[in-house]
Amino acid sequence: MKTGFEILREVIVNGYKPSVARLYDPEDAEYHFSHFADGKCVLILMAEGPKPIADATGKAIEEVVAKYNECERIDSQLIKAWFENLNWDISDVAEERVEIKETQNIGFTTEVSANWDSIYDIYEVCYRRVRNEIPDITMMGGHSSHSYSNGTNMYFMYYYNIVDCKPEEEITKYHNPINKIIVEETLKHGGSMVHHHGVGKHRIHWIKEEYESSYYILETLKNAFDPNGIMNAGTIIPIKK
Amino acid sequence: MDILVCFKIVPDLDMLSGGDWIIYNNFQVNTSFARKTINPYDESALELVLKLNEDAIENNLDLKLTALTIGENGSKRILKNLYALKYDHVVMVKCDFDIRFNSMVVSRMIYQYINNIRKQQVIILGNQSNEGDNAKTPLLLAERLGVPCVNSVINIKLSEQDGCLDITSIIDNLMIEQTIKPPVVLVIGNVPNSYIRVPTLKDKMRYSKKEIEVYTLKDLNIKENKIEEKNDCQLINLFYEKNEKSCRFIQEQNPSENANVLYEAYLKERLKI
Repeated sequence: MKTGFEILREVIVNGYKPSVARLYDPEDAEYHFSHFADGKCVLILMAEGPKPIADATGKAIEEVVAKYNECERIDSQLIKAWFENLNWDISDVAEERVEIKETQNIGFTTEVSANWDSIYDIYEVCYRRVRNEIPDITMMGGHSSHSYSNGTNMYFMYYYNIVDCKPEEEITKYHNPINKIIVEETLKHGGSMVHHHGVGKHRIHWIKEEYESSYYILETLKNAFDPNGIMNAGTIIPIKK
Repeated sequence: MDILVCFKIVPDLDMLSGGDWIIYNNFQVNTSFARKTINPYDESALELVLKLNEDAIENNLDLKLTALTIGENGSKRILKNLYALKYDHVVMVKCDFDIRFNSMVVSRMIYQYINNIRKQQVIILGNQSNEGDNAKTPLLLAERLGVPCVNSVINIKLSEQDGCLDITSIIDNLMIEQTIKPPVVLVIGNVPNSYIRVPTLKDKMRYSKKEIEVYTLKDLNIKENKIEEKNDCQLINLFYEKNEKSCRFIQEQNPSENANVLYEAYLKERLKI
């Protein structure tokens, strides 16, 4: 993953704008690309747009990747097939529900973001701690899908078997402790506990740590637009008890 | 009791678009860019046996579970997962030949494994596969072994009768319950709960070093030059059965008319509460 982040960083910081820049860790790669990943990370970079721009982007990407001997180029057809099947339809969702019910295996995501200099450390510590500390984990991995000049996001994915617990206890036995590890480690390393999916209700408890000294600005803005606190209460600003 | 589950690793054909169905000269479609999965009927078989084993453990019975597949097919991850799910033996028979429509040789390989490598009392196979479906292999295997074969099995339980299994099958909408004393070949049909359980990361790591048992055709006493000779089925054609959705372009004079046709002809009835 370290190499993958380095490549992403170099491509993006040098000013190139690939239309797709995604890095999958070995666990997530096994989930999506088991037919060729073979226990390795998968890095997908794509160039689109006017031909001169796409050509220049493609050439620059090839130059950056060529510096890393551990990278192995794969057949584009493999990625094309993945791309065409990326979006689920309603039957996939229905099938997943049946699978969850039968296997008692369920997955969630927590997405964070951080500067280039800390994203790998965040990934590594969260990956290690969740695997070691959470019971019944069947998958802990993730991918980076959105990169910028200053950093990237990390979309953690985790699956676990629900063992010896009532449905209402599942969130406290598995989901919340996983979220806690990911959010607290990310904040400790100077990252943000969110990216483009928002804070939501599960991570609201850390909102003050997220914003630190700028929290009052968020609170002031929220109060200005929603003085009675009736708009999606309990997200963005915690409900005061 | 020794139980053998024979399973096949197949490409996820849903990943192929219409344009990918190019049939090459050797009657092959390139599916190398599609994910590999366990054939659904075989997946049901593998899970049924795991459930049976749970019952056996509760009743202090010792079942020895073996899972066997033929061909490599990028299947290492799937095979290792079976160890993590507590299969005792995970076996791969190396074979680079096109045996999709060669049930004679497939049944012979399984038979030779049982005869030469590890004896089995219960042999379980899926009913059909999405690639090279012959619906013959279990029947031929049972014939070679000289044991009964039960089709369309949907459940297997330990019987109250010592050393027997209670087998449930559905044929022509008729549910049949049988108590059978192995040896027997069971063919798994449409099992209501068909997904195999997921191993934990800890179990995956614990069993990651356990080697897959690999056998060659030579180990099974099968001569490579006899593989095609034994085939009683010759593939003479392969075609893609297009299942296209019907489509109508609404091309009225303006967007308002288009919307009106869309509403009147397609939405009005559906939107009725």
